[in-house]
Amino acid sequence: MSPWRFFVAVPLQSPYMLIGLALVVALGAAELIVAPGSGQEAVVTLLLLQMFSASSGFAIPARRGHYDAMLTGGVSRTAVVGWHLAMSVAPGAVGWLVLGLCEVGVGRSAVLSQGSIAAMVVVSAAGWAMTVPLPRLSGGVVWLVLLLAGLGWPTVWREDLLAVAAGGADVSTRAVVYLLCPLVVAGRSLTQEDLIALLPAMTLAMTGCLVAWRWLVHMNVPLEAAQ
Amino acid sequence: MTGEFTISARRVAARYGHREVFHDVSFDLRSGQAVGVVGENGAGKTTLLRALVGLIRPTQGEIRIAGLPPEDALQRIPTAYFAGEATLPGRVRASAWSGIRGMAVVTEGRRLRTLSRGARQLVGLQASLAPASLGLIVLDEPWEGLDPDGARWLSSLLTSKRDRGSAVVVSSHRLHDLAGICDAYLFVVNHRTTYVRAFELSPVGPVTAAVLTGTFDRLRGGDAWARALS
Repeated sequence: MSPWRFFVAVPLQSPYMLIGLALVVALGAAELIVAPGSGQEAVVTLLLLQMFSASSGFAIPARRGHYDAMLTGGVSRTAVVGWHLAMSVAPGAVGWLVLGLCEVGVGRSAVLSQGSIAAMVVVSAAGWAMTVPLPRLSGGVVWLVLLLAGLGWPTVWREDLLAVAAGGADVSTRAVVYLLCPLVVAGRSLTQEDLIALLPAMTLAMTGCLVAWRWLVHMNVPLEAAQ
Repeated sequence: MTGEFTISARRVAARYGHREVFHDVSFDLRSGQAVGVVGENGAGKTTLLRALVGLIRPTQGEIRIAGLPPEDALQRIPTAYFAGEATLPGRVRASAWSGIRGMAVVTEGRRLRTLSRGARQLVGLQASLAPASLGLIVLDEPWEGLDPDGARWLSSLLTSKRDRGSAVVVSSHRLHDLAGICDAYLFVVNHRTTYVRAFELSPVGPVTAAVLTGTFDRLRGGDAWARALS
């Protein structure tokens, strides 16, 4: 069985999510034509949606039996998980590339900047990994709640976030801010300090992905009703 | 690889946490044979079938298909596994689901959740059993929800696939359907299994639902309803 054919027939994102992504890309592209410097705003909005789009969830639909046909269809578990990750990330990534190409057309490159690439990788990997054992969209919701709680509660954190967004703050503060809110790095060229500050977020997202991948490859898939 | 092969289970046990589902399950099944799994609700039939196709790893013992663990064997042996209409993703269109194996066998364009239970069961079975060459067929309560025509179609298809060399493992409470197609039966009673070949159950004629019911009652120490009512 072809995992591609399976995931096209059984999409990981709801139609509303796909329409939302398409709208963000279309509006972002239109705005880029009118105001070529608006790439950063467009990519931040897209990344926000990508956090939810990549949070597709695996274990729960698998335990409902939705993936039985593919898991017993002659494809290795490793390949199934790989395809699941790719198809979870794909809609947002494709939208991002389309937006980036539109921006290149008007002579700018914020959407495809180093910062945007880093933010896209962290947001996609963390969103997918966090949601693997949870219901769809959970990773995005958890992350948004943490972010809003952080913004609303300690004044120091809010000031740090604003300072980092404005390009200031020391490396350790930036590292914490990038960890909780990788969106602030979108649209920027990265300095050496930024790269160091991004390491914890990148490492955590990649490690989370590997742990989730390994867990899925070895996990039992009982039917919910049979336990 | 769809030629001759053997499925062997040796002292297989499964648990969910501290709860034992079954233990000491042993049997052999060759391609071209069918085995029926019979047991009460919650006896562990679904768990056993999922272990056979590698979705669950036994806590003890081992299952081998053509000498390989199920997850490896299924990459070589074309397999149909279907655990009932409740496992179908409701938001997917019936025609799209039926095409996941590369051949659209259903033209119904409605979403699966809008179909009747029996229609969903039929779509799931048609999609699973569509490939012409299947080495292993594992079906969990496949007759549930089917109308008489659908039930006859399924029984006839399973018999035909078995005769063409598929190994068939099928669980069901509908003993009259099961009786017609199986070469052996696996009774799951009180966490244990008893494997009986058809000719041992009925040496002089075909196995009937009455023979299966009698054997099942004997294994669990009498008719459970009669015991409950008394």
